[in-house]
Amino acid sequence: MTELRVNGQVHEVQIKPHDRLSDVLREKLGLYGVRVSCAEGECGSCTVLIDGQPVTACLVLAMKAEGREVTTIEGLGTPDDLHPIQEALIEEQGFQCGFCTPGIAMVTKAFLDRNPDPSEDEVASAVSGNICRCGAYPYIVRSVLTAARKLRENAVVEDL
Amino acid sequence: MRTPFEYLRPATPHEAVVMKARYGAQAQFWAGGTDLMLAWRQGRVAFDYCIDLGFLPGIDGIACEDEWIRIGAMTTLDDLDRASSRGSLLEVLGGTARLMCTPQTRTIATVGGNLCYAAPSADLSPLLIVLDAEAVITGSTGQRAIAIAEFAQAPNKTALADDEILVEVRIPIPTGRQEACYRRIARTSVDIALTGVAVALTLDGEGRIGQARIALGAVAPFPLRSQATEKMLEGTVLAGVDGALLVAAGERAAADARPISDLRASADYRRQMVRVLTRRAIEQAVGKLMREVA
Repeated sequence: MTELRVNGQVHEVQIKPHDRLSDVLREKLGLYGVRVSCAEGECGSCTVLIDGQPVTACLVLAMKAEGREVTTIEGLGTPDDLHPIQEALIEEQGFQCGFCTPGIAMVTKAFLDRNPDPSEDEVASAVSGNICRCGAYPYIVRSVLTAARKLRENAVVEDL
Repeated sequence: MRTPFEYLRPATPHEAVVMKARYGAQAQFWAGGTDLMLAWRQGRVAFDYCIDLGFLPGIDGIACEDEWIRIGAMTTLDDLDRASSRGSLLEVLGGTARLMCTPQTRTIATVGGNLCYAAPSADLSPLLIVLDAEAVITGSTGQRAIAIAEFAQAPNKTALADDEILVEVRIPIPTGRQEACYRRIARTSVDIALTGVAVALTLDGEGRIGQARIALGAVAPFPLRSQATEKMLEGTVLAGVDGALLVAAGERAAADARPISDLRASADYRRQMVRVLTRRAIEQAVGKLMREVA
């Protein structure tokens, strides 16, 4: 058994050496917010965070996550308590079908942690590894900018 | 067909090479694994043991010393991108890293993995070659260093022996003025290079090009230096690098290219892109040197 820390919880999981992190998260832990589309590291829909860094979970051996902190969309917010990034995606309609949205939310989380006040161009680069076949790109960029503003405002409130 | 494998996690580079020496061709080093994962899933590679290098201490990160920039083999492309602000050499390396794959794959893919996978189209190789970089290799009996130009020998084949791993890439810090750049053609940013050209030029005391280095990617089984093109440039006054010389240099580099036709591009197209990119890369490097002089 291998110990995995996912969304703040510790799980004992049976992992085969060749299992992908995306498979383990979905099939062993039931975290279906990890969407697998291309399974070749190109579309970004399976993006999760390992120690705060975004990774395409379809290209990562699950064994590599041992001892590290994995965060999926399920760990970002809940339906009752949405994360500001999720609120922004809804408000700005940064999706149509929603399949790619968890990956975009996770990339946004890592990106805004690193760069809280980005330019539009920086946002476009940050989400360049996420394919949205509905073509919601302008709305996605707007969502990320709105999320950045919300998070900055929250930070100011916390500082008071 | 997919063949299952056992997972091994060495704690030190020495332990890793001892494992590899024991299992030989049945063992596969696994760095970030972004290429290997797909190759294994598509049945293009098979091995009994996966030796995960991702947990080895002390072989990631970038250190700038007096004579060398040292890049640990397990440094990710994202690390390289983030080091862009630490000097002009790292700016060019970071810019090249940003051309590769996607932000969330650059956090996985490593510099060492990119070099050891030895794809003819590897973007970092031509650039490291023109920077006279060296591969630092640890083996079961000690350490050695070889020129990056000698490292890749064929697709997926490097100069590493069975009991060796790449632990570091080191780049000599130029004593005088030097400018480098890498230009490539790719269908999309996620796709691999159809053709890539790297150029590095140094400036001597009299405003002439001192040392020229030109390397071509994706037009031979491994990245190729075009020494004939380099000689055309060496000794030329910066202001004398005109359109005619650029065209001639592109022509010379294209003559050295040995491209193949595949699903991505024809050999003729690749050769034509060598002409264009060589011209542009030299022009860019010269332009940067001129700005420094002015």
